[in-house]
Parts: sequence; C-alpha cells; structure tokens
Amino acid sequence: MNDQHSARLDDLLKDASVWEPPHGFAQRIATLAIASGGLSPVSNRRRAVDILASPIVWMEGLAAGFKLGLEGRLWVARQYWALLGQWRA
Amino acid sequence: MHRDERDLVESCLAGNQDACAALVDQYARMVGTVIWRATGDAGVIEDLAQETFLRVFKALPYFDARAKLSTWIYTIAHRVAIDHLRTAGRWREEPLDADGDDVRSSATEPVDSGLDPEAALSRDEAARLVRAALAELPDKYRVPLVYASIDGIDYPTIAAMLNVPIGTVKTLIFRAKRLLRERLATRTRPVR
Repeated sequence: MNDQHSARLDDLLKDASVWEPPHGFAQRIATLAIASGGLSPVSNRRRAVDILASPIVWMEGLAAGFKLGLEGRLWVARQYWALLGQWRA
Repeated sequence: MHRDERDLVESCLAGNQDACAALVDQYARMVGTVIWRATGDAGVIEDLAQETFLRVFKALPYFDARAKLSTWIYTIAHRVAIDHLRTAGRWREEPLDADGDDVRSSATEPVDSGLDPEAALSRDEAARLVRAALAELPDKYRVPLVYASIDGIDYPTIAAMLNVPIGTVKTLIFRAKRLLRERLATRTRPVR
C-alpha cells in the first residue's frame, strides 16, 4: 500500500508542462547580448590577455597537466615570476 | 562538450548573432521551466530567462569547455531564480546540507499521505493539494524536489545546480517527499 502511495505521489509530482518562450525571444536576447558588447572578437582578445597575465591560470594548467604536487607548483610559480621579471625588464 | 556545442559557443564568442539566437533557442524552454518551478510564478519567467541568458553570454568567455553546457546554463538559471526570490523576500536562507533539519519523523516509518489510489479524490483535486503542500515546504527541500520533477533534469544535474554532492540531493528529495506526505496527510484527514 505504501508503494502505491509513493507511486501516486510521484505521479502527481511529475509535471510535464514546459515554458514556451514567446515568438522572437531568442533573436531579442541575441541582439541584446551583442549590443551589450560582451561578445565580440575584441572581448576575446581581452580574455586572451587576461589568461596570459594570470599566473594562477598558468600554474594550475601546468600543475594539472604534469600532475605536479605543491613543490612542483612552487617551482612553476618561481619560473613564471622570473620569466615575467625578465619580460618586464 | 560535443563538437557541435563547442562550435556554437565559439561562434557566439566571435560575436555571431545567429549563433547566439540558436543557443538561446536550444535552452530557453528548459531555462524557463527551471525558473518557473523554482519561483512558482509564471509572470516572472520571461524577464528572468532574459536575465539568465544575458548572464550566460557575459560569462561565456570564461566557460570551462570540459563542463556540460546545459548544466552550466541551468545553474545560472537556478541562481537567477534564487536571487529573484531573495529580493522578493521569499527565500529562506538555510544551508543545503542533509544534516540537522526540521524533519522530525523517523526516516523508516511509513506515512499515509492520504493519496490512496483507491481514494475518492480526483486527480485534479489531488494535484491541487500536492501543489499547495509543495509551496509550503522549506525551500531547501522544495527546490530539489521540483527540479527532479522536470523531464530531462537528473540528480547529477541538480547536484551541480545546487553545488552539493549527489548523495545530498537524494537525501533532500527523500526528506522532501516525506514532509510532503506528512503535510498531505493532515490536509486529507477526514473531519469527524
């Protein structure tokens, strides 16, 4: 009996209704997204610069790639800062 | 991420408006449905779905291609819905863990929900009662339960959306159903 109650509750909880976006919704959002300037080749270049400038991203990428432990990560960090120092000089 | 999805994301990132529209078109129904279930308010879906996609496009350059695009988008929809509930003062802050909560009954003791399949309640009446009882559940139980009732959203997706382990989702849903049965039992108890 309890299984039957559970099944009935599950059945009543199932809700197949799905929201239907209004006509033109996708185009409107796409226009807004482009107009807001978040998506463009320029912003991608800015993102690439952000990534290159982030030692954490580099270090984590290398550490994950070579399965480095804490010591390895510190070594990578030191090399990175040394390289950055040379580049800035 | 599938190749088609990766191509779509790259086209969006390159500023291709048709690709952006295709991405919205692909996920709008599910995003709107997540918002609908979380807020229970059909009147706010369109605005919140728009807000979700604008956040998606803003964050898209930082999307980790190893993740599942659909889960990432639904997670943003969930956050937008919760932000809305919080702003409206309808969100009760509670940690989403499976410990220390207000479910006082023994977990193994069966509870008669009053939803006996042989009972005289029609399906519409029973569904109305379930919806009313569901709306009164604490949010930490209600939200995973309503997400689980959406076709196409599985436990791993809910876990990612709520940022909790899958085991916690299962426990929250189990307790949600139990609470729901208890509340339904008090509503359907015959008046003497």
